[in-house]
Amino acid sequence: MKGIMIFVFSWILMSFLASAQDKTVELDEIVIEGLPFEKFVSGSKIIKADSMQLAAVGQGTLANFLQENTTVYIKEQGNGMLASVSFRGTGSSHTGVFWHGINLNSLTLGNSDFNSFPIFLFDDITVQFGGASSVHGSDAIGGSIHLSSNPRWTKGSKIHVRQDFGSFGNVFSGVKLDIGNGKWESKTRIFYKYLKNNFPYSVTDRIGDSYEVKQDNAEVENYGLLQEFNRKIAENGYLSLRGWLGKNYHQVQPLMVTTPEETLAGDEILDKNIRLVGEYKHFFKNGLLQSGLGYVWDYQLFDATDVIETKRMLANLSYEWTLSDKTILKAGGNTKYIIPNVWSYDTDLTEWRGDAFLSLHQELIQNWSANLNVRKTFVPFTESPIAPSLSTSYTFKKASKIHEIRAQVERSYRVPSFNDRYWGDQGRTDLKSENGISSELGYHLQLNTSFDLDIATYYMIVDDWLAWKPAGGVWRPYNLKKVEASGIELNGKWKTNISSASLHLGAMYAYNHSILLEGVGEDDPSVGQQLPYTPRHRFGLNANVTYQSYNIAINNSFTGKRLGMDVNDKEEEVDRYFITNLSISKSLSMGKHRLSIEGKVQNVFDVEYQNVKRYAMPGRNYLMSINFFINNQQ
Amino acid sequence: MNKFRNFLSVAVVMAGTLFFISCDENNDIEKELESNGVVVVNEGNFGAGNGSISLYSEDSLKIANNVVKNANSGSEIGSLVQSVYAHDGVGYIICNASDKIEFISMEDNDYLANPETDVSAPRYMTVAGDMGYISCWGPWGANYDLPNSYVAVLDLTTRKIIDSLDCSSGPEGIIAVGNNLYVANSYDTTITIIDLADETSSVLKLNAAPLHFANDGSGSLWVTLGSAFKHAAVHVGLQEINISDNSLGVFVQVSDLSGSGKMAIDGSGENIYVLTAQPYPSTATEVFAFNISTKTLGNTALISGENFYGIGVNPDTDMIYVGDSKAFAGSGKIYVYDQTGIMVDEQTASIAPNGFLFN
Repeated sequence: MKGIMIFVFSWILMSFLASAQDKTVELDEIVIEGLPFEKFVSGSKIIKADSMQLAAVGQGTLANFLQENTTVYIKEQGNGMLASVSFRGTGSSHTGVFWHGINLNSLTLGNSDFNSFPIFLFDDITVQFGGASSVHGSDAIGGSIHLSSNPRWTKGSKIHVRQDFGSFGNVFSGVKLDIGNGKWESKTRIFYKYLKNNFPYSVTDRIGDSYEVKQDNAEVENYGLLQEFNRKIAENGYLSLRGWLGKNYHQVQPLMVTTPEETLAGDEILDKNIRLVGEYKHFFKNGLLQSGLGYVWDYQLFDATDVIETKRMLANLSYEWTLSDKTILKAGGNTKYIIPNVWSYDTDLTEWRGDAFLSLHQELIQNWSANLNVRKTFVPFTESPIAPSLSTSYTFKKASKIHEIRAQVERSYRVPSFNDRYWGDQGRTDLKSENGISSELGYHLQLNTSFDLDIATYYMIVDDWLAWKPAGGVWRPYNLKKVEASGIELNGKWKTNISSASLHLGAMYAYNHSILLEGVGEDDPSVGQQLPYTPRHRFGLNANVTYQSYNIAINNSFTGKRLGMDVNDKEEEVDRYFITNLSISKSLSMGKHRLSIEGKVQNVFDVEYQNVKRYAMPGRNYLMSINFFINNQQ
Repeated sequence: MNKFRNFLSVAVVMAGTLFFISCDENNDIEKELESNGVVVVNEGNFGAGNGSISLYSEDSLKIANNVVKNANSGSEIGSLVQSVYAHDGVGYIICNASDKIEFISMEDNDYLANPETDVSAPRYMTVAGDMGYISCWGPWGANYDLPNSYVAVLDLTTRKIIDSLDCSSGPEGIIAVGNNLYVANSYDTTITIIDLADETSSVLKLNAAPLHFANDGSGSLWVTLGSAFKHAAVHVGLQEINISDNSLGVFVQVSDLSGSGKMAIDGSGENIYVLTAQPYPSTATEVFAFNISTKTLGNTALISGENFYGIGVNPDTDMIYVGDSKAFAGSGKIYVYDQTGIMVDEQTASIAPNGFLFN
């Protein structure tokens, strides 16, 4: 009965949202169906992208989204180039990126390029801070990100066409097409993006003169297609089939030149991916069955010669019991079969791995709940720890205020990558998984529906952190480093109406203290110091004003000083930077259709900055967008 | 309040003075070192463009880092400084990842010209006559092999690449002896010997991957032979080549020879010091002495430590220099030892000191 209730409730909610979408002209947050794990992680800080933020990112990538809307640090090795993430002072391999439960991190490298995930393809982005291996498995040490699009049971058709032209040879064309009759639904997202990326930057030459050069060898060309079919089966089940094809080409932006005559040889990287997921959800009287099958093909070609390729087949099954109105229990597991094709691995190398997990949500007294999650990954040779987490949250309402206090302790882990374990003669199958132990405490205040404040503090130790070391003249991975990370994150949102204008303000700040306790050797000179490329401070200030058919958005983000690769060398420090983006749009309503024209200025104050030392970034630049929504006022 | 203000101004003045003092002192060291310093080559981190040059004085036991950058308005050298060669007062800085050769004056470290960028993955240089010869790996082929390696010929007068000579895969060490140019093809098991008079070449076959050369001045050329992950340990070590007829002389096994095969010969040609690395799972690195007259390798390591990356011997004092990469995790160190392996000095250099040059 309860299962049907949940189903009916979500059905009503979705219908309501769908109808709400039809009527409102103003962009606003749209609450969506929660992700399957959400009810078990109420102790975690979770940020969900609202439709306004997603629209503002437009043709941008997950790197752009996180940079502009969260305090997470993105280390971008040039404009639109390899972007790695640092959640709470952890490294690029310590973040799980999931698409409907599939960890998208490269199996060979163990991490992701956050510029390879275009926001245009996704309806929902959920950012979970802190360790969550007990729910998501390997990699979720510093944080995890969930890209998804849930069924919205479209009735009729909805089309969104986007066309952008921007500075430095930027062109973007994208179409979103949703068709359905309430029982079945097809969602299509397709785009093409090109960026010549020949922005100018200035260099001081050897006699102290400044001159301007144009960035060379930094071209980006991406194609993407995401197709989703949702079909209701009987009264209480539905099937979703999703396919995501991507082709991302980019030249590798070289270091800044040191003389105008210098030309740097350019590398290039071509990534092709096929990701397929079939998922079936069935709502029983007191439970929910979820099962899925998937296939992922990752192919990378470096300089048109070297291939790094993996294929994986995946299957998962889980069941969620609603034991009483206070207790929900979920158990499940998954398995993967991986076939790599990497020249330096043994040719017959394949791997089976699997995960098993158990999650419990228990309401203790009214408004006070606790969660217990346990998960373990089974990998050949490698010992990976059993990762439990215990979290609790307490909510109390007072007049129009809702207070929530949450706390969590957890263990998280990261299984060494294929390269760590199987690379030529250097990989080691006797490596341990990286091991994180963390605790966090959070407070959330919601005032009416107009003000929202979140404070999160955390403390984390990551041990057995893998580092490749040229020991004995040969680079090999070792479980060497130990890192202590602690910090505080503040997020505030305020919504108000001034006469007929509606104003949204957002502010965020993060302080991170990430210290190397044990380094690559006894005399590692960086022990005791903040990790390289891990800013102590980040903050952001956003404002969005809608007046009649006009919208103005300002996005400011500050990234504090980062230590360079040699943390003891002051000259290697990378300066802080403050970047402002401004956009103005006008919306024209045409019956059931809508046309929106947007002009955007990025890096308004033409700040000269580097994210990674010696890699140029563009100054002020412009973007013009036309969005046409057919049968779709959103 | 007044007191605080006074204190503040005193503090500011003091801090300012300190700054000037330290600057002046640094300049003094650099000046002193420019004339008689030992060049320390700091390779830098991969993809970071932070390769640099340090100067060290054995007399005053002082080091100055980033000397080339400081002498040139902060203009940086480039990415992965593989080696430096000096000839006639000109320093040739070979930047492997930046694909260029920078030219500096050895007197004041000023850049002399725009870099020559017509090279692909340059490694090491030698000079014969008015020409420089630079081993170049060329672009990577499939599966990271090196099908297009070559030797670039640099006209020392015009500072331009004027020619290229053929060799096999992955040329590393390069040395000119008389009219012959020896090129160690480290992705192969051969040495290409090029007669510079007529540019004809011959190939010397070996049992492992040749890496670096040392000329003992008594008719023998020594080359380190590395395993390159595939050659048997019995073939890894030091190989003698008789310069007179390019025949192979003795072979001495050094099974723990480091992957880079780096070595250095002393001024009198009596000893060769080779970098070794204990086999996995040990992470220790060592220096072994090889006596050229008795053709024997020391029974035990002369020097031991972690992360040894570069080696050199000052030909005037026979002091042994070792670069410690600190596993590329931060500023490396250089250590100076006497011939008995006793450390006489230790200094902080920059990222990954990989070699030394003595004037």
